[in-house]
Amino acid sequence: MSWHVPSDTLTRFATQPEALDDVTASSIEQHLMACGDCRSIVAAASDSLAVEASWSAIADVIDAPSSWPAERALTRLGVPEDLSRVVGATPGLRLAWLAAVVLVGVAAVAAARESGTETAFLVAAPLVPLVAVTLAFLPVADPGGEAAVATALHGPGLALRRTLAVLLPTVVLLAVAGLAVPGMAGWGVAWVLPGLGLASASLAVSTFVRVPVAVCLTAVAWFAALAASGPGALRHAAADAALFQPAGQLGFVALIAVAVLTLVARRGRFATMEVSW
Amino acid sequence: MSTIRVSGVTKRFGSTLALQEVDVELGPGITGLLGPNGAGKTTLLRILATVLPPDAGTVSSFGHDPATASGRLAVRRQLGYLPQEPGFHRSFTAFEFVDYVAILKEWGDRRARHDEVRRVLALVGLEAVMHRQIRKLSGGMRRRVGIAQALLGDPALLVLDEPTAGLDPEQRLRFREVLSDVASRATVLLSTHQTDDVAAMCATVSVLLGGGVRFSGSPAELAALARDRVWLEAERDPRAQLAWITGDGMVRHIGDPPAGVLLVEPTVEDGYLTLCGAVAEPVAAGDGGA
Amino acid sequence: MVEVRSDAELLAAVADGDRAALRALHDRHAPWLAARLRRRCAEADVAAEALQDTFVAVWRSAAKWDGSGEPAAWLWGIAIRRLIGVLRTRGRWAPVAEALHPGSQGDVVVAAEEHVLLGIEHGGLAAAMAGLSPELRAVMQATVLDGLSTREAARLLGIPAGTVKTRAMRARHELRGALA
Repeated sequence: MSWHVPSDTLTRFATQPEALDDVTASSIEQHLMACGDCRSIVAAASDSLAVEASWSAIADVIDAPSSWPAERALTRLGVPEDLSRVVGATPGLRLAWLAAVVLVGVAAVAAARESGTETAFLVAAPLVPLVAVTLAFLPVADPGGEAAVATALHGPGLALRRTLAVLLPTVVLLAVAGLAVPGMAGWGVAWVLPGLGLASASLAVSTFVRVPVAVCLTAVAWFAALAASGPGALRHAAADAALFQPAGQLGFVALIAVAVLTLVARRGRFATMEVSW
Repeated sequence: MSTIRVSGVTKRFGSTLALQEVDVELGPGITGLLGPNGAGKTTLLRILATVLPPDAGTVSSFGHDPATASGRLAVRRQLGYLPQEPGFHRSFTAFEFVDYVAILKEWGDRRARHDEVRRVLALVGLEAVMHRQIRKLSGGMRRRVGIAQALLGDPALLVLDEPTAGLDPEQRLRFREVLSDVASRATVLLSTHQTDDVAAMCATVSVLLGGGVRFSGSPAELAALARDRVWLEAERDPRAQLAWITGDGMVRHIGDPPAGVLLVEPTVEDGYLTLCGAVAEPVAAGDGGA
Repeated sequence: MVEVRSDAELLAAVADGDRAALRALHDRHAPWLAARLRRRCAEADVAAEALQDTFVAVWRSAAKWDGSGEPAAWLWGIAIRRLIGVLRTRGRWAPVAEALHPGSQGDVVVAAEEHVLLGIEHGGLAAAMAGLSPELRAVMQATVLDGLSTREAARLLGIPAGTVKTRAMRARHELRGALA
């Protein structure tokens, strides 16, 4: 490069670019694209604080952690970014899990169509919210591990948000699946209260015993109650079982109430490792 | 002037008594917690880190009672905790993990949070690999990620469970530098197996054995427990409580020294081993060494 | 002894995920890119945003540089298009017409001999360009010097694409006349 822009012109270009006339400036601009030495002079003449600030903003974007789809969805719904990140970390919201729920729903529906009754669906559907909600407490559910337990936000509030974040899509998906079961009609909602009852009961029980134990106890209790509530309830006549009749539904309302009261009373346990997988 | 007071703390797991009537007082600076596996160190640290509640007894951290929800929140806002098994999520990068914990520590503003994450990762020397996935990092680097998240927000209380496990000597030295800088402003409790860490870093040390505190004092006082009980000989002497061959070929003994042997200055390790031996050995008639 | 890497080496390193290389590239090129962008857009925050977007784009797509030509020219190509993108998002165009008035921003006067030197760099073109009206000159700068397409130039200047074409034709006609 035999010709260079005089350095004080470069300084003017660096500090007051709009002040130069455009012929001069165009020349400088074309030259700078090919000359590293003149670029260094421009760099040296620039406001270093501004360059630093510019870099900060860039670093911010490139360092930003990758986000999960559930997290982005929550952010779009208006949830603050950091909250949606900790709530969205729940595996219950991962697409793979949702696919599994859909599969269970589809399988239950298919089985119901095969047998021509709603039984398979009514037996299986209430278990899905139960399993979903307890998945929110898997060790892998909190990617922060044990260190995350010792933080300010870890506690019953966060546990509640995660539970709801898992419960709502589950209920919606199952409701949709339920519509595909033959003859469901009014039974389309018969599984809702039992489902919520089982989920809240197992959560309450997990403040006493470990989560997997609580899930098993609740599931076993469900099957036992079904079997006891009417002959052949488990095989083909679930719809007739007392559990799904109005009296049974009221029973589940009572179960939910008791479970919620227990949870409120023992909510401190969600702040420590006492509720754990 | 103590900042943390633990009094009469007991913790049981099923039929196992992990901690029994433990009393500990901590002040600013670094306190070491020594003890064999199963002595209850991790349990005590978890209680101090508000991650587990005690079955009995009281804890007071900076005047707050972590048994209450508000007390626990107040303590957590001044706390940095490194668990023995951090339990990282598989696919997180170092940056993402520390950033995630930072969110839980109420760093809501993204820009400030990212600046802080970068700061603590730089403190532990991980800036070059901050965007690498944790599962692709070496054991020592993973430990440093754990240390980094504990340093978020420059906490007043640092509870570290085996922070130097898996670190090579150079990294341990760097860790000591970072910690001594932090310790000028904070109360630090770290548990370790390494008596030389204790000797190098800790102003006070507590020894936990069988769920109870058997010693509390300075490292020099711990070493002094073995005063006049440590000697070197060319060959192993069966009368000693403990004996092992050292790097220079001599055998180091701890116990009641026979007459005429070469006594040496006890180290912290010697004092610690003496204490372990004294507690472990039942007092039996005719038994040598007691 | 710090070894100084060339721009091409830095770009290769950035493609490899080397954050420090991006920083080095930024510190070298952000100043002149910022100045050049400021001359296309009167608003400082728009130009700053475009500059940041540029380096984020470089971070993500450094591998796409084909290795031919000057890295600086490639960087400018990204920067000017980012500026157009930002302007479009904000629903605005760059009010550059005023900025291109020759010598109107009075206080900075290029010394006579420097002017001569710069004229030599571009031969008679400089004088011929100076003779164009601001609107024509803006179009020439956008299409010829900045390398924008008709549509991109239209977005940048806030005029219809058809107007860009007619002005470019007129400008070329005048320049040919002036250089003949």
